[in-house]
Amino acid sequence: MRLPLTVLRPAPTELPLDRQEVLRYLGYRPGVTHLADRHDVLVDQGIALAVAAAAPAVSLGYCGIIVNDGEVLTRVPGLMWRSRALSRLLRGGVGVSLVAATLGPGIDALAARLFAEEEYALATVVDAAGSALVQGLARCAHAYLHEQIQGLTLTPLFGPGYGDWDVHDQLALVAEAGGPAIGLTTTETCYVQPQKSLVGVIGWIAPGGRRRVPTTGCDLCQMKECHYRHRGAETG
Amino acid sequence: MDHVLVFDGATGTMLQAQGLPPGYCPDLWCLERPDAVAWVHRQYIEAGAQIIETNTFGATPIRLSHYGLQEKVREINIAAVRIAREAAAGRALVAASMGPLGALVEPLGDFPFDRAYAEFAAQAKALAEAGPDFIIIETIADLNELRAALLACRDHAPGIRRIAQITIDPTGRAFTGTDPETAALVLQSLGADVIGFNCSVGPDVLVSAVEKMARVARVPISAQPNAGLPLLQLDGTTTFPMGPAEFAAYGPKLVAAGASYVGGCCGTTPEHIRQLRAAVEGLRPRTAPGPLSQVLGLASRTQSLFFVDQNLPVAIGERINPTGRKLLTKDIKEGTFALVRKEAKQQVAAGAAVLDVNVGVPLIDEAAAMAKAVQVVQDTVPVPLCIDSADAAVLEAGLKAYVGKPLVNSFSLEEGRAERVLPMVKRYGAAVLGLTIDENGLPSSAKQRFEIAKRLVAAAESYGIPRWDVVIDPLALTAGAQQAQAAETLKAIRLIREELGCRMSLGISNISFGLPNRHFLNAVYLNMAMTAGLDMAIMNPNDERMMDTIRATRLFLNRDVNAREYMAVVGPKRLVHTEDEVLAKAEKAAGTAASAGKAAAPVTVSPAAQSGAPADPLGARLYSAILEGDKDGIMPLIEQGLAEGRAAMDMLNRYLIPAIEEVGRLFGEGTYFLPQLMLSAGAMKKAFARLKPELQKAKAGSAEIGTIVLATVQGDIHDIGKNIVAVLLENYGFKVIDLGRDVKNEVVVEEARKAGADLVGLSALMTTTMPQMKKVIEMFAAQGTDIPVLVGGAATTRAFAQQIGAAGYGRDAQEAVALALRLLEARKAAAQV
Repeated sequence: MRLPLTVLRPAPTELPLDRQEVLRYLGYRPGVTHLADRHDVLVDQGIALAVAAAAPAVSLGYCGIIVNDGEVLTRVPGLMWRSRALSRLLRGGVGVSLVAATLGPGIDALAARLFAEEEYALATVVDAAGSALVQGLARCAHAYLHEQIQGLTLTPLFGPGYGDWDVHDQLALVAEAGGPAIGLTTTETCYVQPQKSLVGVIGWIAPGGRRRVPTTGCDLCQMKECHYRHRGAETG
Repeated sequence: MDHVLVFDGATGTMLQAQGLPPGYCPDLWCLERPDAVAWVHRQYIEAGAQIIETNTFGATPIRLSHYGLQEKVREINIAAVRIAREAAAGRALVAASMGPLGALVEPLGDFPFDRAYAEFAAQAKALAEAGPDFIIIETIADLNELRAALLACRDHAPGIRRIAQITIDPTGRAFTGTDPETAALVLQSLGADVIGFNCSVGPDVLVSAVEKMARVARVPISAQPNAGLPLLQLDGTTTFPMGPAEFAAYGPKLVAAGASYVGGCCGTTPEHIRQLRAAVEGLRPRTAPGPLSQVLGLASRTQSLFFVDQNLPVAIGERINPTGRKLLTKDIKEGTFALVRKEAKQQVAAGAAVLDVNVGVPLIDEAAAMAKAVQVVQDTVPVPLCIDSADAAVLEAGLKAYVGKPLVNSFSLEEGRAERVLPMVKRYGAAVLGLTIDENGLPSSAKQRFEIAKRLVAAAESYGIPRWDVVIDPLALTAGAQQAQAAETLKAIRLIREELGCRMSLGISNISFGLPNRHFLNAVYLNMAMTAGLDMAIMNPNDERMMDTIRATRLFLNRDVNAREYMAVVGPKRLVHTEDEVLAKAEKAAGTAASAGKAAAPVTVSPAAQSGAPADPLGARLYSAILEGDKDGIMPLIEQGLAEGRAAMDMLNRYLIPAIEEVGRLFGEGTYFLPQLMLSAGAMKKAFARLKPELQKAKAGSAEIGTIVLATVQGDIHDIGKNIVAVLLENYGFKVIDLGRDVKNEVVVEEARKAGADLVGLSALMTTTMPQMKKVIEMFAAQGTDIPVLVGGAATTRAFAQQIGAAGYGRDAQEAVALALRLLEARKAAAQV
């Protein structure tokens, strides 16, 4: 089964943005890093500039899948992914949403311009805010699918280049997900353009299929500021 | 202890192997599946564990409330101890596990300290009924949460031995900044019977942490590492890389480092424990006390100060005291605390090693004000505090709010004072200052003061406060009124120190009251007191003459090794000595800048700027401007320096480079985050650009120290990391030729050749473009060129750098710069040979 592409263009101000995530990207360590008021102002300014420069867009495709051990076959001719990590994630899955998400070229250009103007600190904040915003955009896409799809469980977004999923699969995935329709392309070396973009799949898990319910680790923990949350380790 | 004892390993994964369903409360199995819990215990006991941990890691009300089980705290904890006891059947000791609350306690988070205490107290009460051999507080990274747990256990399970384990990350500190020495100092002072580490990192990281802790510990040390650093899998599970044999091989190393108890945490299995037991069998724990275990130590959350000769004497800043100060009184009364914060920063920047906090304002809730002041000051500066009040309730509020080991100021033998103060000093693990005053007031002779000091020490010891945690103040009286007393106080210092071995403190400024030229008199008396054996002075650290007197004394006592501090701070001065003189000079300097049409920007001194700041006023402001990243404020200062005839090279080497090096250090330890590093880099770049033509004019050597060609490799379009490195390299005087991003290999090689580059730096984000680095290195080799190539970028590693023949690898911008400096130096040295 293949479904037509869906394109979402949420307003930048509607994107969920976790300020603590921006700080973490910038190396902030709670209880260790000392920030003066002016640094908080700088962070807020960088975030505001990044939001203003963002033109978020998400393209969503769909294809059915068959999951084997170590590989995922798709219903799209010629499209197959070899990855143990991916096959584990999609175990019990019936299909995937193919996701291409971008904030557009504005943030890249803004960060470059600020650097050229020797506004180095602001440039780093804009860059970090862009990284947090694009994660927010992915969460938007996930929430949209969650509303649309009844009775199925969705996996987190996962993309080529992570775990053992070959980054070269990104080239075909961008095309299938409708990346060009929202201005998202890849270089031959698999870099996405604009830089503040994400490409990946969100699995659809059928009822009775594997459900991802964490019993330990960060998802269960209330300590949102925890250093280990960022790194992905578990405690206890 | 004669033998090393071995704990068990991970529990959760073992229960899952027994069928614990995903999302189910593990602790509830103590009631529903005692057979499965007992099976886990037996597995570990049969593997050789000598201490097993109960299945109560999450058995506090708040953790159980996630499953609607908050009413079962008592039932679960009691059942858990019974199951463990029965499984042990006399073959192993039972330690009741007490894990983190899952909420960040104030002030780092918003979970109230009192509530944290109540949560732990509820579990401790149940455990007191059950009677385990130990309560083991574990997997907690926040020192304040550990304090709450320890106090709750002391209060509600008083007869049970307490093990307190902190969790650190690969940097060797807790993520909240606490280092092993500080953890040891605070936890053992709070009454932990065993201190140590568990979880988060592998045994390799813990070996050095245990070594550091052992220098301070006077109680046994435990170490329960993970089976290596956890690796998150894509399905949400975690794997651990270290097998049983590799894990067990670290057992003897942990014991040699100072651990008496070893065991495992996440990722370990009965097989890990079996092999660990075999590896440490027959080993004897170290029994010699650590060199810092029986000396006075004070600590904040992130750092400790040990009162050993090499670190002494020190200044305790006295400026946070509203007596006679209208603005500070108003600041405290209105609850603003902005001036308190400012005073804290200034005193630490001036060199104070400890800050005294006194909020004695009439008609306010002084206890609440003390708690707030302590929180504000510890949030602003990293040095330990001295909590100062005549009111015991106010002292207690400060002690409760303080995360660390403070000094309490003070107690005496006046009626009821010792009885009120000493119990709380003991409870909160503080040190205490004793004043030589008794029921009859202050005696006149040194001998009488010595007799009172003996009684002060005995009183403290009777409450379980060790002698080394008692500091004696023999009190300086006003020389203008009681001239003979000045010498008696000095005699008392000598006598008490020699006979009782206590550290000595003195409030200095009272000595000169009513006499002219007080700063001068204070400095002379301070010098006399230090010569008599004074270890710390409560004084105004903004008084440069006083601080310089301490620095000079440290030099003559051979404690300032190679006169490093003296040369750095006092050396550049034209002996400016009173606070008034300094202020006048600073105003004059500001006036000069303003008259040039460029008002000098206000410079605030970072809390992190401590003893490294130069004392020459202009130098100090240049240094601060870099530290604060004040790119607008630095230019008038540079112009002022040039107008005064200062050499550009001198300003660069003496103030700017040390400042940017300090910024790098602060960034490396996490005190600064990236934007602060970049603000400083921006200020440095501006300053360097202005000095560069002056350097060339003066022919003071080349303005640049070397040339580096930077590029993001062919096919890679990301360059922010490379850009950051470029700015920092320029800060250190490199000529940077930045070729941009997606640069063809041939272009890199050709441009480096044309520029006569000393170094080449290449950046790549992803594995798809990393091979280009190897190609560039091969091209250089093919041409017979020996330019060292540095590599960096998200996916690069040290191993990759070695594999492709790169000269080095920078994990981040700061490391890249350090590497570049080393390589350049080596290259120049080789060229000279």
